[in-house]
Amino acid sequence: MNFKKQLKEGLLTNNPVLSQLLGMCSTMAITTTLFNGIGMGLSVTIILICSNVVISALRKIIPDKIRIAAYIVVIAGFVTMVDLLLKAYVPALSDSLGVFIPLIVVNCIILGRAEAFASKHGVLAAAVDGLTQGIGYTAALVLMCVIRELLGSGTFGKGVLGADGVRILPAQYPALLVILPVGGFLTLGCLIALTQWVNRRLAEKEQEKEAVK
Amino acid sequence: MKNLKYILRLTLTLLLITAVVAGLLGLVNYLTEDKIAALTKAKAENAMQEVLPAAHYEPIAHSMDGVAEAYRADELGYVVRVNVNGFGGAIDMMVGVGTDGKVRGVSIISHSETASLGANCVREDFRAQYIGADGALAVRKDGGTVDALTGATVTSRAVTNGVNLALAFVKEVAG
Repeated sequence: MNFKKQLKEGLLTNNPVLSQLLGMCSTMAITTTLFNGIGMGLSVTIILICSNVVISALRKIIPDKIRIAAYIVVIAGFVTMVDLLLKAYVPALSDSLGVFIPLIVVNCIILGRAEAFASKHGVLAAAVDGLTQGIGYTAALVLMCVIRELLGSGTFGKGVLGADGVRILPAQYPALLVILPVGGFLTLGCLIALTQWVNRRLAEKEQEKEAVK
Repeated sequence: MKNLKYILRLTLTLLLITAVVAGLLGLVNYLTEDKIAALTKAKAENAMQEVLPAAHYEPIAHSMDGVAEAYRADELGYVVRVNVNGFGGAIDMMVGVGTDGKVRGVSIISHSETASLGANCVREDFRAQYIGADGALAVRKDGGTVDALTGATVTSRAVTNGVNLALAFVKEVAG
């Protein structure tokens, strides 16, 4: 089954945030509490699966010359639907993410996957790609959130485990810097470096396996 | 002739996709419209009850910059909804002012301040320090008495300006 391979790509070797460096804007802006990270990750995953499926289903109907315009219309449609549904049924999340929900329209991950994968593969494969890339995006966001929340606010699970989360570091220790954009860049840089290291180790191991064979 | 056909095909495909998406959006909007409107209304009403509890709020005319809505709360005083510029965008807040010209309560309806810094402006211990104030307020850094939030002087200044604006408005209305 291809699912395992695609999942590994989504999480590590081809992670949308940490390897492809897509969707940086939302990654930087909203990863300050766990609640935000999970909410944003789920929203993007749902939109990514829907748009991948529709674009893959329409890939033979949409002429090449207008494909970008057609993709954007489909993506914007799904984003607006999710935005309206969140506003009506999960107002807390909608308040917390604010303008970053409508901005998913211009999140490069979605257009990137539409162009690089969905427009060249069947519906099922595109859906699996949407799911695995979405999981990879969510994982990266949650990791950023946990680190920034712990070092910047000294808590874990703000908004998920009660409004203020669980306090881990006493209130006088956390570094405000980590919550600010500067901290976002620093955290992201460290995570990208770590991902590259892990990816290289994985590639080396595979080479060794090949050599033994 | 072949070229024309191709152009027509491009146009019609895009038109069709756009029409289908627009139709679906209309449907979702129809399904969520009432619920969103009710939630927005409930939020504003809750804020009004919080800053100055009263049985009836009667809308009054307003023309001051930054004042979004204004109500007379029975004989108790006024509730003023003001919009001020914070650090990350507009701060939408409700201020209750008694007939004696003193602040009764401040509530933040929506904001886009930095999490863990400016976002702390919704905390009660910060908002409580405005209660009872009647003159022009300022944060400590500007020589006033309001304790600014740690690392969020701009947000604190904005909220203080909002309260000042509401006080000025009430002074003008009440004469």
